[in-house]
Amino acid sequence: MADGGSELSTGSLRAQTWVPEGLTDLYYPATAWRRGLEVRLASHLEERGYHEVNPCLLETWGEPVVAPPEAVLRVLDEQGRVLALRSDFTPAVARVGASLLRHQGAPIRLWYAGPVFRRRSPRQVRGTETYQVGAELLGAEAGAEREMLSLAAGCLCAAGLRAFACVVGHSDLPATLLAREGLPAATVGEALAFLRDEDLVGFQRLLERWGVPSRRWRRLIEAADANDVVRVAEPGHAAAKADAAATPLQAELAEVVSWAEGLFPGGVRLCPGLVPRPEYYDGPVFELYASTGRRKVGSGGRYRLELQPEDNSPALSVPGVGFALDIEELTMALAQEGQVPASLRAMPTIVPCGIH
Amino acid sequence: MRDPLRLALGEGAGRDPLVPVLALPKGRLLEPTLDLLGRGGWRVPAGKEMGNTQLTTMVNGPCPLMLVLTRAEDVPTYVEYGAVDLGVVGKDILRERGSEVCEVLDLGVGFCRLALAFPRDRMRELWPPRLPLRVATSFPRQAAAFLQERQVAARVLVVRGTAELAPLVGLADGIVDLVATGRTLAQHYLAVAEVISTSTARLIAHPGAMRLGSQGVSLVIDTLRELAQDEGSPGEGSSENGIAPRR
Repeated sequence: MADGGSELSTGSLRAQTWVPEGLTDLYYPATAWRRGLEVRLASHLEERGYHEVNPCLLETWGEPVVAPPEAVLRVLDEQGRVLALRSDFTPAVARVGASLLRHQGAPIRLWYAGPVFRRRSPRQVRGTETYQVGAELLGAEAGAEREMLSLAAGCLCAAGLRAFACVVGHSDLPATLLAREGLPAATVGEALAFLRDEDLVGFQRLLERWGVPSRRWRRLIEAADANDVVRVAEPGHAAAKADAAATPLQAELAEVVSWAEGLFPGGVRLCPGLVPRPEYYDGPVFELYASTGRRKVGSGGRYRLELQPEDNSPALSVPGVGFALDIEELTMALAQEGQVPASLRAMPTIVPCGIH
Repeated sequence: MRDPLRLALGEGAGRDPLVPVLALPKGRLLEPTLDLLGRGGWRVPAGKEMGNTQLTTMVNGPCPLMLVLTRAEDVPTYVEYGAVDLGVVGKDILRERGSEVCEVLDLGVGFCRLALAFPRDRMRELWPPRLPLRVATSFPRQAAAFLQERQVAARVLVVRGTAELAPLVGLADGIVDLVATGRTLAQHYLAVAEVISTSTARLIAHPGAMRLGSQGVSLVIDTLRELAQDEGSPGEGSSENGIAPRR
């Protein structure tokens, strides 16, 4: 017997009763619950003109694999080529969408559901498999965020969530604000890495070393009211409001905030220091939170993917806006609102504690 | 009328969003953290009283605050899953776990070092090593990374607590463990060969609590930030040899 598991002998078939770490088997009635949730989301997406795609689970290693290499689960095929288990839906959906774009033209509206796999650090408690439902608007013009925010909010309503909020940022905002402080490019990169890792202590120390006053760096890391776009985007510039329209980034952010307002019952917050993962985002980004328990149930934003065709013809640049919902987190958020049947709430969830 | 404890900690719409929940670690960081909170105006119980009697306590101060007492290693789990808004934990544990939490403040208390130590009488023989080593530790991730960086062939043995016993009974050649005063090492005839890193208590937050920024959470952070600045954290590697002065 290996790995401390047990084995069942079932005639000629011997079945192991344990699963690899970070993965889980889903039993009924949880399976039925998830399917029901997926049906509600699918119905909402289809009604709004989105078509389902189901990209393959294995990808060629070296495609735009957006998770850190050490986080990607890899397998070898019979010819010794490295394949990767899907770690992110967006590049896979964009690949499917790229061929549709050639024939149908933009925009293309697609939705998907399925698992993504990322190997977590052995010390992290979250699982390797995440089940997502999401949507991508490929070949999207500027302003497509309006449709996507509305779609995301509609999905959360369709799922039955009552209280949810949106946090808005911009992929270029942290770097722009840091550059305005006169920091060299290498230091800006270091500061962005601290923000991406949520290490505000390291961020603070770095900026203090460069003589940036605390009132300035704190504006980067503290969430602000949605109507504070101007103050956030131009710390220390009293005349900022006057030239708000002249700053494209500010104008873009203000527009996205205005679109989000009214869609999210829990409100809209600005987070200037939000450095999105993955790094392909190149515009407004947003995170979706259940207000009760503050669970992050989804995220999305604007991106641009460079797709290299197999025949070495010129790379195809695909702009898009999309979002993905984490179904496990959404289910937990619904449970916290008391909207999951008692029979499901009795299903055990193992949360490892301590250092294992 | 609902029990205020259940209201603050309760699931679902019943949880009071105005009362932030702070997870405190049992052990060496409890007293200095309670002291900080006391100086911030919260009427906190004494550390012994809290540890012995109950795992949750509601305290009054600049804002009502729910304190939850857990094992130090469990604090990041409670915060990562959003069961509590804030937590206090040593940087050593954060490095070891790599949790998805927001590290908000260096509280400047609970200073200690993570160090590689060997029996005093075998120090010259063992470090720098000529033969593969066996090292016992509760911090395998950091120990392995350090030994790999130094290109030392070593087998890392994971033990839970009392690592200093391992060289005495022949389980390992040396240990990687936390050192505060050095008294425990000395009692077990051990001496520090290398300091791997330094550590202080950190205030951590659930990213959602930071982003959605409730008034109570902001108040706790702002109050502790002022106190931590007064405390003047030694930081990491602030002295030439990477060993900050003992406070």
